[in-house]
Amino acid sequence: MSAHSQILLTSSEGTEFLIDRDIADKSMLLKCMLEDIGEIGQAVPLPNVSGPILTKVIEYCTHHRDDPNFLSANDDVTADIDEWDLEYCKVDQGTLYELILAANYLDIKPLMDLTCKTVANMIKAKSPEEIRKTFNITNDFTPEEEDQVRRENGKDWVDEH
Amino acid sequence: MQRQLIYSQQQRHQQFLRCSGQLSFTTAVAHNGKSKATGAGDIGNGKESRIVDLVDDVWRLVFYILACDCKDLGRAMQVSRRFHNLIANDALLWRLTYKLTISGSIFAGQKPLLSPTWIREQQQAGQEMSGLSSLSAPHQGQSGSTSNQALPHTIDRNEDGLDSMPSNRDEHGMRKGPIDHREAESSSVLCGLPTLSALATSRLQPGSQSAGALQPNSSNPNVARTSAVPVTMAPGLQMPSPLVLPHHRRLAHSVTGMNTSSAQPIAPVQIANAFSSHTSYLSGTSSTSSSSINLGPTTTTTRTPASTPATLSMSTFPSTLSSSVSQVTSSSSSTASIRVIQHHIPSTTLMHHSPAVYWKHQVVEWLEQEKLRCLRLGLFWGFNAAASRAHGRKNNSAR
Repeated sequence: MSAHSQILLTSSEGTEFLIDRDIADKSMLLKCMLEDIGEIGQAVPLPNVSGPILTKVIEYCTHHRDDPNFLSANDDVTADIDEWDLEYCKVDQGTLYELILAANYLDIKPLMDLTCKTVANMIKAKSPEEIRKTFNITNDFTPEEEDQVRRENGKDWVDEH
Repeated sequence: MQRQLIYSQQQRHQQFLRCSGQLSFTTAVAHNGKSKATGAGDIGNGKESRIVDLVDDVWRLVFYILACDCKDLGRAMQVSRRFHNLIANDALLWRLTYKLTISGSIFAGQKPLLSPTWIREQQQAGQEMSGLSSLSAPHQGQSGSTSNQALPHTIDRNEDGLDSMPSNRDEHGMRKGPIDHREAESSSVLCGLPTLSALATSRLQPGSQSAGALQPNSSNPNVARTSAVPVTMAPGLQMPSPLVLPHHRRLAHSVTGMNTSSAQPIAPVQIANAFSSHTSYLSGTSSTSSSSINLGPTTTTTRTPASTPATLSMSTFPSTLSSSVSQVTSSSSSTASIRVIQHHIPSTTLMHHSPAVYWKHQVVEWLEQEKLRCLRLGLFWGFNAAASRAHGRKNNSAR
C-alpha cells in the first residue's frame, strides 16, 4: 500500500473527511483496522465522533504527523504540556469532553493524555466549591457528610502538606 | 491501559465490526448525565447545547494525574459523592496517595512515584491478587455506579493488609461513634484470625459487611474461606495489625494474668503494675495520651477519647501470647464472657485519620524502630569513630 494513500472517514452526521493514511495511522483503531482488512474502498464510518470533533482530532493528528515519539509511551503524565497543545485545548468544556471521548474511541493515546491533563489542570488548586462551579456539579452531600468528608480529607490533606 | 479502562475489548471488537460494516451502528459512547456540564458538540455556534459528562473511568484517569498532589485529591473528594466514591473506592489511588504521602512528607525531596508504569504494575499486581482472592467479593471498580448512593463503606484498599481499616462506619458509610458491644465482638474475632494475611483477605469486602461476615456465630462461609485461603504478603510489607500492637498484647497479657484469678477482685496495685508496664513501653515513643481507668469485676476498660476501638475478648488471650500477630490463634467462644478493652492506643495509630496522616505516623514509628535496631547493630560505630577523630583533631588544634 502506498504511504500517500488516503482514507475517507465519515462522522456521525455523515460528513466525509479525506485524510492521508499516515494521519489516520495516529489512531490505533483505524491503524489496526486498516492493517487487518486493508483498503475497504469506501468511507470508514465513525458513528461516535461528530464532524466538528473529528475536525479537531484531524487537526491534532496532522500537527503531530511528523512527531517520531507520537506513539511511544510517555510515562510522565505530569510533564508539561506543549505550547501548541495548550492552545489546542483552549476549547469549551463540552468540546473538551467530546475530544476525550473521541480520543478514547479512536485510541489516540497522546490526545487522551493531553485532554485528561487539561481536565486535571482545571481541578488543580481549586476549592471544592470552585470545582463544582467549573464542572457544574451538584453538591449531593448532606451537611453532616460534607462536614465529615472535609474533616477526613480536607484538613489533613490540604493543610498539613 | 487507558483505552481499555473505558472501552472493553469486546466493545472494541464491536466498534471494529461496525467500522468494517459487519455490524449496525449504535451509539456506544456513554454519557453520564448525573452531574451535568453543558457543552457544545458543535464548535463555535453554541446554539445546540448537549449534556455531556465524562464516564467514571475518564474521571479516574484525571484523578491519577491529580494524585501527584494529595491536596487536590483531598479537595476533589469533597466535591460530590461520585468523586468521593471514585477516589475512596479505588485501591490504586489509595496506594498512590499513600506512596506520595510518604515521598512528600517524610522523605522530602524524593521524586514522587507517580508514573503510568507504576500504576500499570500496581494494577497488574492487583489483578493477580484479585485472582488469588477471588473468593472475596469484588469491590473495586464499582465506584462509579454508586454515584447517587450513600458514601462507600470503608474498604480494605490494598491487598497487602497494610491499611486494614476497622469498620467503624455505619450503613451510610459514615463514621460511627464510640464502639458498641457488637463491634467489640467482631473486632475480637478479627484479632483472633489465624493469620494476618487472612485478616487482610477477609477485609477485601466493604467495611461493615466484612465485619458482619466475621461475626462469631455467622453462617457466612467467608469466615471459613478467609481462614482457609491465606494470601501471601510481600515481605517487608507486613506490619503489625492496627488492632493488635505489641503494647496492646503486653497490656492484655497483664490483664489476662490478673484474670486468671477472676473470682477475686482486682487489687489496685495489680492494676497499677499492669499499666505501669504498659506506660513504660509507651514512654519510649513520642506518643502520649491521657487515659482514665475504669475497672470492674468483669470488665476492664481503658478509655482514650481518640482511640481506635480495638477490642479483645479476654478469654481469647492465652497466658502465653505469641510474639507475632499472625500467630495469634482464634479461640473465640460464643459462651465466653466478652470483656471489652478499649486499648490505650497512641493517637498516631488511629484509623479514623485520613490515610495520609495514618501512614505518615506508621512510617515515623517504623523509622524509629529501624534507627534503634541499627544502633543496636552498631552501624553507627563508623559515625562515632569519625566523630571522635574530629573531636581529637579539635583538641589537638586547641593545644
